[in-house]
Amino acid sequence: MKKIINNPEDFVKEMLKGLADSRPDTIGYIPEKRIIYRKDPFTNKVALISGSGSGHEPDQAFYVGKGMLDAACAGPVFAAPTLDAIVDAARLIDKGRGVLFLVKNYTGDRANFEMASEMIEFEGGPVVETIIINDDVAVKDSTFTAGRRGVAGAIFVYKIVGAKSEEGTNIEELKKLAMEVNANVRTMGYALKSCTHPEKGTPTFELGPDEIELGVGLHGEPGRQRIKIERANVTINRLLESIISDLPFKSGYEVALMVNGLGGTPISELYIACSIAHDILKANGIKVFKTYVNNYCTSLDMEGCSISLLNLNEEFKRLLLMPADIPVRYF
Amino acid sequence: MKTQKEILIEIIENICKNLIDAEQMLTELDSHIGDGDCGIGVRKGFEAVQKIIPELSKMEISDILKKTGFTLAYTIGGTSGAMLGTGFIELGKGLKEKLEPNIFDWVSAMNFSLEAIKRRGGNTKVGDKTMIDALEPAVLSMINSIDTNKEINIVTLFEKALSAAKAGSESTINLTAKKGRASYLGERSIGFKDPGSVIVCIILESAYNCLKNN
Repeated sequence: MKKIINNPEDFVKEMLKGLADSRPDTIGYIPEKRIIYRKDPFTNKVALISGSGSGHEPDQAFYVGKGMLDAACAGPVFAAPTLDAIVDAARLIDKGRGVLFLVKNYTGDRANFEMASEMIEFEGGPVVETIIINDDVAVKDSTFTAGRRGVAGAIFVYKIVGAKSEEGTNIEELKKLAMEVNANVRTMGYALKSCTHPEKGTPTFELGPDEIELGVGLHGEPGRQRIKIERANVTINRLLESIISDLPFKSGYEVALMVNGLGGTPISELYIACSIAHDILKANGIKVFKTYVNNYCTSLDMEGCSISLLNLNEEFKRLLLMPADIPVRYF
Repeated sequence: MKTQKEILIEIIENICKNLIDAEQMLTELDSHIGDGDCGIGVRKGFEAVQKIIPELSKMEISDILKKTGFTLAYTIGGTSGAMLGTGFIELGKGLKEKLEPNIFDWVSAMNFSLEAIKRRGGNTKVGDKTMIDALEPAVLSMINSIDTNKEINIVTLFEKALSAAKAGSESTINLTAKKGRASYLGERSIGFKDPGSVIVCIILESAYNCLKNN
């Protein structure tokens, strides 16, 4: 294992410190609870919190900032954040308008967020609502979930709901909007190479040199099918066929397209996937309103990508285009 | 004669004492198949409960259990915190609005709590090498006791439940872990007892000893 690390057990702590150091104007950090929060003052808005195991960066600590999330709870690598951190983050960031938890559908994450909201209610804390994101079309149940997993489509939920929250919208309407985005987004990915957990030091699963895993999970858990490597055209077509038929996305629909790198794939290859996706969507009569190509939701250094499609309406389009002042911008 | 609430507080105090004392043993077990922090986490959690005993004493039975659960989950953290916390919280929920629950209420709340832990763990089953391997047989034994006996003695009920839990805990030695961090080890997790199942035994034994003395 060759990585830019000191002690494997300090992986998350040092990464988050680096994040806070990079944006001292907007990012606050509580190391002992692994909480990243918005430091710039804001009032009269519902606070949005997300959280999960680390290793999916920039998801989700790097999406904290005006127009997106207000706090993020990071767990250890691939392990859920703890109840105490979630409770503390909610108490810290609430501005009297309530707190909305945006949670990807993994058993550990759900358990801790559900208990946190119960504890806050028991102790008379801020109003809390929770939305579960489950955009992955690959498998219904996996090693880490009951029901569909939450993957890169979550970023569209954070973006759209985050922009809306800046307008002072109340918690019930934001929850409704979050559910509406979740209902209109679908994702599927594939892996070319496994990832290496920094504390484990060895690949989390084995994939032969000529094999790919279709529908791989964010923690390297098995997907839909393991097949021999093939031309990118064929594989991207498989992903999009599964995605398009699932919603289903019909001819004439207008979408946002996300080509998401899983962490270890060069940007150049992601743009090849983007080119293929555009051709396939055009052939299906689906219009692309905006394309997002980058590492948005990763699995450490896993090679591969996922494709997400979000079926748009005028409100989603307007909110997608609003600015978000988050640390992962190039300029 | 002591009130039910006083006995419950005594049981919680006894659980705290016994699990704090078990730190080294739990750490030893966890170092084989987990990350070795189980004993420390559990000790911190039950020390935090010890500190709020005066506060608990002022609450009703349902809230005593819920507050204990939240305190454990908050302080222990991680999956063990979530599962132990869930156990007490859901036991409390199962006794909602019951100021003087009878034995049937308690057993039905125990069953409610068991089901909640199984759900929260991602549909955990007996055989997955978790605390469920001890808890489910114990709860089933309790249900069996109230179903088959007209005159139910709570001490005997706990005695039987405890021996079912101990047998379940012993059975985890030969199992391959299917949940939690130990599942990463696959077959290498065989040969060691699951620490979660041992915690369940200590909790039931603490309750049994208190009930016997009252």
